[in-house]
Amino acid sequence: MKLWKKISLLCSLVLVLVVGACTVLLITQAQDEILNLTYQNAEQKQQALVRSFNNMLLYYHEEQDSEAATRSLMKYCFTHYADSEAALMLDGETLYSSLSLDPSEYLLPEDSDTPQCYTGAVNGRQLLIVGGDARLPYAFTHNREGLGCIVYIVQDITPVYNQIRTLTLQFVVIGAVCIGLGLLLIALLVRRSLRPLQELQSAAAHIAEGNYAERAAVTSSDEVGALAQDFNVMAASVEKHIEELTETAERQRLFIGGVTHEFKTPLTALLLNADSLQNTYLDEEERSAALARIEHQTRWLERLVQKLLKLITLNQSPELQPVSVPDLLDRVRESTADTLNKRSVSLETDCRMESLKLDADLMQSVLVNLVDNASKASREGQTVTLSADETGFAVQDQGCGIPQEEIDRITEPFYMVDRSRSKKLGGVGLGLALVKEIVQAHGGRLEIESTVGEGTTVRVLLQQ
Amino acid sequence: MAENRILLVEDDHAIADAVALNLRTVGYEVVAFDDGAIAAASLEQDHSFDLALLDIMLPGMDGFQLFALMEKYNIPVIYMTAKTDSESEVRGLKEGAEDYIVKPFEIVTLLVRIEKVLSRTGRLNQVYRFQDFTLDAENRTLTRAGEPIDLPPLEFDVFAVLMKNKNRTVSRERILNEIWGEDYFGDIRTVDVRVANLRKKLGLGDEIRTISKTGYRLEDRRK
Repeated sequence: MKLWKKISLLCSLVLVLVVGACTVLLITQAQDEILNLTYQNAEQKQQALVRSFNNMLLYYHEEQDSEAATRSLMKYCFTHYADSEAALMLDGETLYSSLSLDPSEYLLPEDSDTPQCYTGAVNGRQLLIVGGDARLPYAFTHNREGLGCIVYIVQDITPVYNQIRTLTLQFVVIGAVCIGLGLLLIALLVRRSLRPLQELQSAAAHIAEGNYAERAAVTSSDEVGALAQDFNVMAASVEKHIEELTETAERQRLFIGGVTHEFKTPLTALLLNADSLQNTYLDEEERSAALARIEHQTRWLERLVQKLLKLITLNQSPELQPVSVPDLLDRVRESTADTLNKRSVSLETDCRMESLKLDADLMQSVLVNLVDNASKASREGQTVTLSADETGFAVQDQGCGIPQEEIDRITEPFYMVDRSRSKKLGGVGLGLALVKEIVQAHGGRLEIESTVGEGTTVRVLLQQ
Repeated sequence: MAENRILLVEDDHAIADAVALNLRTVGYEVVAFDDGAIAAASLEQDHSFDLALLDIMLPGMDGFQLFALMEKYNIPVIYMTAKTDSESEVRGLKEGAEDYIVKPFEIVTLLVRIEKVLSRTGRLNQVYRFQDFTLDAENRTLTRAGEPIDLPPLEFDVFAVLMKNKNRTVSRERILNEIWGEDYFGDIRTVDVRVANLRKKLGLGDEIRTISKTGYRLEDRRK
């Protein structure tokens, strides 16, 4: 069962109980009130009758009156005041009655000062019988023992009961309407206050379908709002991770595409030359040329594989230790000396830092790569400057420079600004990609500034 | 009739040299360039080529750019591409290239494609020379120093295949395929019999070399 239905049902139950109880209470109270009023009214009427009757009796009574005369007088006096619904009983005998029933069958009041009431259904009518002692004056009672004179009045209170019934009906109807309206209102309000949950749910469903940019549009400041906020934070983090994963996958796809492409050229050359050796009639010179090409391509492939391996295995973070910077620069100078000599480019070092925390072998390969690149870009007789300070390293040349629009791309694997020139110089197009990976593994970044025709500065910025 | 001239533009020398070498040995004349722009410039003077083999990724001017020039001089084009993505293949063919070949490829495949394109465009030179032999595959004549030689049709066909692939090893299967088409499953030894006859009749005992386990090669020792 849905939550809003559950809550609505519980609320409705409470509402029905409360409204029901209130209605019942109200009805009972009203009924009591009306009946009491009716009783009091009837009692007062009976008392008034008793008083008037007594007064008249006293007025006309004479001491010497006989029993029969007294009875006649009583009857006369009572008749004078009694309306149609009254009766006078004397010692169990009806002295006067305008009633169609014998009230003593229903009510025999005890001897007390206050009249007593009886209500009941008689012949389909609801009757109120009030009876009480007539409290005859002393003159009537002093010489008679056990004289019991009772005055009854009877009222037909069917209309009162009808009124009570109508009232009850009204209360019940009003209660039912209230309950009905209440139920409707509860359902609406509960649904409304739970709508943010529904929105949250639909947002979650959208996200589950892969629509990671979806957010829950819940702005309320209650718990649901807080939940929605947390949910949105979670969704944002999921989206970010998914984006990163997609980006990584895309990068890897491009990388693998690049690798495949790079392998094809040397493989084609190998295949063609091997094919020639096997199937073509070649003279000595042609044969050794084909073999030389095969050797050259094989070496190139080997270099490509080495670099690729380095790039792929570089994922583990390097061990950073304090390394003597002058020693590191010396080693870089040593390993680049041959190629720099060949290209007649000189290397200047400027060391303004004693020690930096880094992985010596990896950083050496970074610097060798950068110096090598710088010397490739330089003309004969130019100088490459390798400097170190507290921010890291910088390699500067006065060579041909890199066009601005190429700078962002040169660290991509297999990207070469001048492809055939790079290849002639033995490049496989992975050097800078490798450099970037190593620097990033150190927690640093690569900054390249270049002006075409004036030279390039590559900075390795390390966080110390 | 002159030899077919082929323009080759490929920046990787190891590939270009091997392709040129093989094309030359079977009797094509090859002019090779390693830069698209240089190739384009030289076309202004010399554009009498029967076919162009173009790499797509080239310094100077890429293969697609060169294609316009090839159209201008009416030179059919075969692309040699390392790109396997169908986009560049589709683009190459859509713009009117005759064919494309994906690296890495084999020389046999390249030779077959070249021959097909040349034959389709009516440029294939069907006159082959070896020493003082001249074989005209179109008119089915064979002469030696001007003297006609009569060969049975099958022997003529086998000799024609060997001449077409001068200095290249030709497998027995390929000889059969070239003569009867790919669906023929004949006895491979028929080839051996024809070759033995050819050696005897033409006096080419040494020049038609048996390459063990593969087939035969017509070797031009004086090349």
